[in-house]
Amino acid sequence: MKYRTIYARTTVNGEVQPPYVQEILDNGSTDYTGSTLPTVDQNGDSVSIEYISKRTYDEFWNKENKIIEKYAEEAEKNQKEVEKLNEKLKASVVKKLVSGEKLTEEEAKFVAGSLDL
Amino acid sequence: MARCGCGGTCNCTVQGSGAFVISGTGDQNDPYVGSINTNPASPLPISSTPSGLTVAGVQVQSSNCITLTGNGSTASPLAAAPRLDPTGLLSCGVNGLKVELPASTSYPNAGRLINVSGTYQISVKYPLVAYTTVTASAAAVNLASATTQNLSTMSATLTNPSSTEIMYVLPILQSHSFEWTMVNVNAWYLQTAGGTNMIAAFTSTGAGEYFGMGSINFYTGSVISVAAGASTTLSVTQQLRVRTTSGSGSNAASFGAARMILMGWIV
Repeated sequence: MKYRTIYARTTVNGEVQPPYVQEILDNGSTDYTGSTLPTVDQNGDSVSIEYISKRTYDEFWNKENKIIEKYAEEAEKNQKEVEKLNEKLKASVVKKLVSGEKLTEEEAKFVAGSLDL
Repeated sequence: MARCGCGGTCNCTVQGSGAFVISGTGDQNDPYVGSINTNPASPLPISSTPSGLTVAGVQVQSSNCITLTGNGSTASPLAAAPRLDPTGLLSCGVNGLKVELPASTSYPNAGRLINVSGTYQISVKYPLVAYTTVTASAAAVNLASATTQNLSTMSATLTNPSSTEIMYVLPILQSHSFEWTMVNVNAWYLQTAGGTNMIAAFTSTGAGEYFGMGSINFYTGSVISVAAGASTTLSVTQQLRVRTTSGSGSNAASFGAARMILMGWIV
């Protein structure tokens, strides 16, 4: 059996989707260039498949991975800030509960969230 | 001629036995004559000839499958031979009838539908005639948006290479693996387009929670029947649905690859 790797992206109901890698059992008779005519798939959607080069595939994912990386960096930064804020809230809540002081709304929400209330 | 030495009338007693019969009175004008009686009802006709008794040869009649020859004599003994059509597949060996299979390459679809191994061994194969694996990465999703966003769409078309038989396609769909960090009260869902299949759903309730899941087979089955020479296309879109924007900016999600495997068999 002869296998071949191809790159493709699908247009579903007119909307172009991110490209993907496909490994096929190559019978030598199917043309994997250009685009297929829209066909109705098993879900009833109109689907056409465009066969693309590895270069086009890589270009898309290099760009996309940079966005994903950026989102991850921002999330990590924000997550640290949340953790810092949580530590701060924890300290003030404990202090206020021990001394019988009234909690702020933010502190009360923190307690409720922590206790899964 | 047998004579008893008597005069006009002979007093000798002459008696036949079985098929040998004596006729006549022994008189000159009516001598004793010995002859052989033959039974007209006998299955094999016997006749008395000047050279002796003669038994007629056996009649033979061939059938569609056996050819009979000979008349049962030493010179031409009875012989039966099988009639083979076509010759080559079945033959008469020293131990009896035997099947002689031609080389496997002479069978139509040899090695694909019919497998011939060794002598007299034929088995039917259920060959895998079409196969594909689609691997998709997940696109970037905005976790600060309480919407449903596409992670990936995988499509594949399998064509039945046979011009005579039906191909059955078994799809196996595997989800994206993921790691999610959800802040505050939130709910995320990994699903197929339109929520047809709910793959995973997680809800956070505390200040921050972490969830992780490996790639799972979320759909296997529903064999698709593909007519001879026809094609089938299957496409699957996996989505992330974010229910609220709670924790915006601090939420994080990373996804592994998803897969779709299509296997086509002729059975």
